[in-house]
Amino acid sequence: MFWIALGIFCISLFLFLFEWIDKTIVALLGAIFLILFGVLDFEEVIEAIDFETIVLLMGLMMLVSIAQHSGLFSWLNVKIADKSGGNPLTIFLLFILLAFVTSTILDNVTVVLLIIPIALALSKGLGLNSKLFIISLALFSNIAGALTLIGDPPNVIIGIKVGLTFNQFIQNLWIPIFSMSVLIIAYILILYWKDLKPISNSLPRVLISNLIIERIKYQFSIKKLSSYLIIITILAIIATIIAFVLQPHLGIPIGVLGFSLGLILTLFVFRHIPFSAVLHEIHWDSLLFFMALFVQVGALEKVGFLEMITNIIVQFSDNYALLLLIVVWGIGLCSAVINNIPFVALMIPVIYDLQAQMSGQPHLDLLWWALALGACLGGNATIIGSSAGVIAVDIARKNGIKISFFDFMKVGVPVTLISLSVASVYLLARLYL
Amino acid sequence: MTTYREQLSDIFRTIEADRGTTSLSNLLLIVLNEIFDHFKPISVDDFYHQFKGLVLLVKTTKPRIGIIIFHFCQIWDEMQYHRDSIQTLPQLKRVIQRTIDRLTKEAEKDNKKLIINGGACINDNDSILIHSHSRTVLKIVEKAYRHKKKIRIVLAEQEEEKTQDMIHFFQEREIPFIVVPEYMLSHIESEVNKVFLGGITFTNQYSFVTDAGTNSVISEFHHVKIPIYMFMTTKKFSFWEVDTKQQTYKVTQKKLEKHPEKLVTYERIKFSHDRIPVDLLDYVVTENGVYTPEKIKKVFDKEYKMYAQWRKRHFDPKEIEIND
Repeated sequence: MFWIALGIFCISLFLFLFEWIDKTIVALLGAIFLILFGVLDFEEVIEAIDFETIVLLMGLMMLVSIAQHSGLFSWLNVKIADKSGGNPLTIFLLFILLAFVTSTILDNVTVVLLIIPIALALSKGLGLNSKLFIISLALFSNIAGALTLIGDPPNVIIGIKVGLTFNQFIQNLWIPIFSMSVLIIAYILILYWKDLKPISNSLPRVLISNLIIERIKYQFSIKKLSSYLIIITILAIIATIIAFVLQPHLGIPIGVLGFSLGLILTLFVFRHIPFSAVLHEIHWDSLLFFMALFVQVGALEKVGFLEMITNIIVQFSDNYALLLLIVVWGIGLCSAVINNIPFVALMIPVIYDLQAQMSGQPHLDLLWWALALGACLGGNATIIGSSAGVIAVDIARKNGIKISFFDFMKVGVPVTLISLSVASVYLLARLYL
Repeated sequence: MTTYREQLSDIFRTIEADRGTTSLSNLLLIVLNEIFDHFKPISVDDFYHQFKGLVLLVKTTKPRIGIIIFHFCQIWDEMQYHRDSIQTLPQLKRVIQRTIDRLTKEAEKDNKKLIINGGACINDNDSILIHSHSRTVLKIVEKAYRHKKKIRIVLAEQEEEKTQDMIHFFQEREIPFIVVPEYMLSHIESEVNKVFLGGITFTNQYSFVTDAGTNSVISEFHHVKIPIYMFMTTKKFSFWEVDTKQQTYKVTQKKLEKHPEKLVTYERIKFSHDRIPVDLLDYVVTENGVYTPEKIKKVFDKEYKMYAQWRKRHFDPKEIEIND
């Protein structure tokens, strides 16, 4: 049974890496084989699936779908383009800020889908380094996603499985996330200054950029926007944040809370956006992927593989500081080449075991933050490390801009090294100070 | 790395495809009017130097857009005229903004006159085929509708963004219309009694530069003797030597499309505009009146002579050739 469970998981990981077959099909087949080979029975399968994570993700996807329909983000994009006056540095910073803020609440792929097309129209039209704009937006959507419980799927899984709250994520992660963001922006500005320097002393560039902005404004102006939908969406986002902040006091499970918010929102908008349209945009394949993954990890736990991993890690070193670094860098480097969600799902029970074995240590909770930081930030190193990266490159390709694996790594690897270094310093500082 | 000329040509073509030439030139005047909010020249001389370069860029975009060139040359002439009296950037800003105000008012006035003259070409029970997303043409038809003329509007479906623009125009104003694909127009020949067109410019070779696809529409309706009208203000005329190659822009796309059974890659060639010999039209309507092709040639020749000095000043063949 041990080798069957491990074999199925390794084959799944291998297929996730090369993406020859849709990852959801692979994960589901893996889960089915586990039942067929008798590793798990049907009750154990149901028990292994964390339905709270699934319903929270579903609720958030409903919110995102309605937000997309409302045109709120297109409106924000246009406002930013207008305010930038066509200045590359301002465009860059404002769009990064928008990606950062929205990624803390919305799924990173949605953020990339909403923001990159307009940033691309501006940067391409202006003859700027569009690759830098696209890659940076994907990177910052991942970095900001690490800040909150709902910002990135690995955090959702960690938050719910471990019982961490929305506030705990922000309280524990705001220092490293903001510090690394400032450092990374400084790094990009220094290295790519020639692409971002102000253009206010060049008449043709100022004229061209303002014409492009006028065009973007016109294209947006012909879309019929419903102020009702925009107001409802803004209120829903505010309500979501408040509800998540107050969740520990409300006593409602976070998954139920997220799903309720999404569902209540559909009640207010169903006359404008049919419920079927909202459901249509839920990523059912991703939800099934998560469910199948939970089953595979459940099987590994049952056969004792996770306990074995824990023992190996503890035998490698019983130095807690070193363990923290192993978690943040190990998960970070794995996330650079493979989907971070399976690793997070796999590591949660391992970290529980580690905590049990190191029970005398103070600050055992730091292991969770090491896991969250490593998983969310490591994916920035390569295109395939995060869904946001894959989608960003795809949008670029459709617009005639080819971003190679190496192009992405040229920006992504240093950014990941900075991020993981800042995360390491922060974790060690929390441990020793 | 794209050059400023390529970038400018690209955005001109894109906005022209979105909204038509008149709207593009108006938009450009608005942007130019606010340019001092974003452009920070080092000195008055720096502004003159850069504006001169900009005028040269505008004169060599592909395609060249007559009314834009005319506007930029007018602003440059005005700047030159006041060169000695301008000491500071605020003074320069005032001169430019004054000129832009004048050009905007003139353009509005010409457009109004053209719309009135165009309106006179529409009668009750006309069935008008429109193959142009020119704002002027659309407004002429709108005005006739508002004046309770019983007309039928048929839009020739062409490039998506242009067709969408026409549809959006009439839909927003709640004016009824029907749409017929450009390649199916032969089926409605008997239902149409006038064809309305707009264009980008009229050149010294007596040809109009128009939306791509206009040529085939004209051929079709010329053949069945349905009158074809072209609407254009004389400010859009090109009073300089035109190289025919510059008036159309070829775009070669490599397309990868999913056909029912497999992915197919092929080369797709598109052209930005058509050139229409004036003789294929029946009437040319300007702000000054309605002309036959023969008459408009004479009007053009007369104005072309009047612009001799202007041409000499702004279209030094060497300068254009070097920068083309």
